[in-house]
Amino acid sequence: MAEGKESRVKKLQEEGWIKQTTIGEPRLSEIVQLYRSLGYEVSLETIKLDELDKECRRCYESEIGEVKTVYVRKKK
Amino acid sequence: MKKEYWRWPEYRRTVPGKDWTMAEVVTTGVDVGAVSSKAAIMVDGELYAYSIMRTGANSPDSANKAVNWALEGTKMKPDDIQYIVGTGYGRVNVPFANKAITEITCHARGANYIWGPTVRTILDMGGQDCKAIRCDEKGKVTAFLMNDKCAAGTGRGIEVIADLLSVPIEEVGPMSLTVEKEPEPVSSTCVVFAKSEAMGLLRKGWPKEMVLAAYCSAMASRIAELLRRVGVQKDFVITGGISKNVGIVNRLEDIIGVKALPMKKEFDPIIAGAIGAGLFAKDLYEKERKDA
Repeated sequence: MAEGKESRVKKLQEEGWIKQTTIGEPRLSEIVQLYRSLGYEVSLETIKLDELDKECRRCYESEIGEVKTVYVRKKK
Repeated sequence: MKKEYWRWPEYRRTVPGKDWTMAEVVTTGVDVGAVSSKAAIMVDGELYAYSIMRTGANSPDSANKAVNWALEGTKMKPDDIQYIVGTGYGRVNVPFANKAITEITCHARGANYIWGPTVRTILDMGGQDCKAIRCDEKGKVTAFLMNDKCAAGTGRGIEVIADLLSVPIEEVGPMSLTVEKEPEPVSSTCVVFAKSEAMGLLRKGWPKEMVLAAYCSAMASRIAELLRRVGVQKDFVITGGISKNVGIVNRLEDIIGVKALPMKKEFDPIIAGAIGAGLFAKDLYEKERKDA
């Protein structure tokens, strides 16, 4: 599982994506819109509960499907 | 009744020496945050009156109360306001706003108004989130970074610790600076875990100021990382409630090696977002009038 995450993150980094934050609504739509207006491409990654630190799981559990990790890269 | 140590002062203010009845444009910015609601009444693009209060369970109601309180004693009525912009976590819940604008955008514009065009980096330390923002000389956002969805390292965390240690929230920062030797930071700023860690330290016999120093230090480190990632460029300013906590601000400045511009006496840094929203309201109102 952690290996899956690591390889996904590595692939994103190789493609030039930079991790910004992990967040849910209503902030998520807001920052996606703002990054796009600043000339960035945005990629949203779904997070998995078993990939989180133990101490964070309790808070993310109830909205795991809604919280995404935001990656950005400058438009070519 | 149990004393609420977390409770910060709610207040309103009218800027002296201004006459709104002669104004061409009266606008309002309403910033409904997760913890506090702020309203800034702007007269011809200048701050005229404002209010800062706790956000209640109902965001539209909090927005309404904040505006009405800001107007109190001014003889201005809600109908005298020509354009309203809502911002903040609950900005979509400002039913009477003409438009909603993101708080990142509004904070940058508000900081530019408060401190001037030399501001390039803004740290907004709010109740439930923390944002590092870079802007140009006009207060336009050029880059930003927000903390992860979590109250760790935010104002809510400080409120919880203040209550746990029975220390009034305004004294948390100054008391944390009274330690002779800086303790190791707590290992987590997670509200849930820091609370149990702080309780453990108290049981070990740590005095309150040591526990507060350990917590403020951990928060400063967490926030410094956010700033490091976005890159701090001078002039650097801090907005939001935690900007008043010298225990965090001083430690943060030490870590990043940059001093924030001092707070301006006439502007509470908590209302930067509401001011920015009020300024956008003026632009939008004038544009609508021109287009009509």
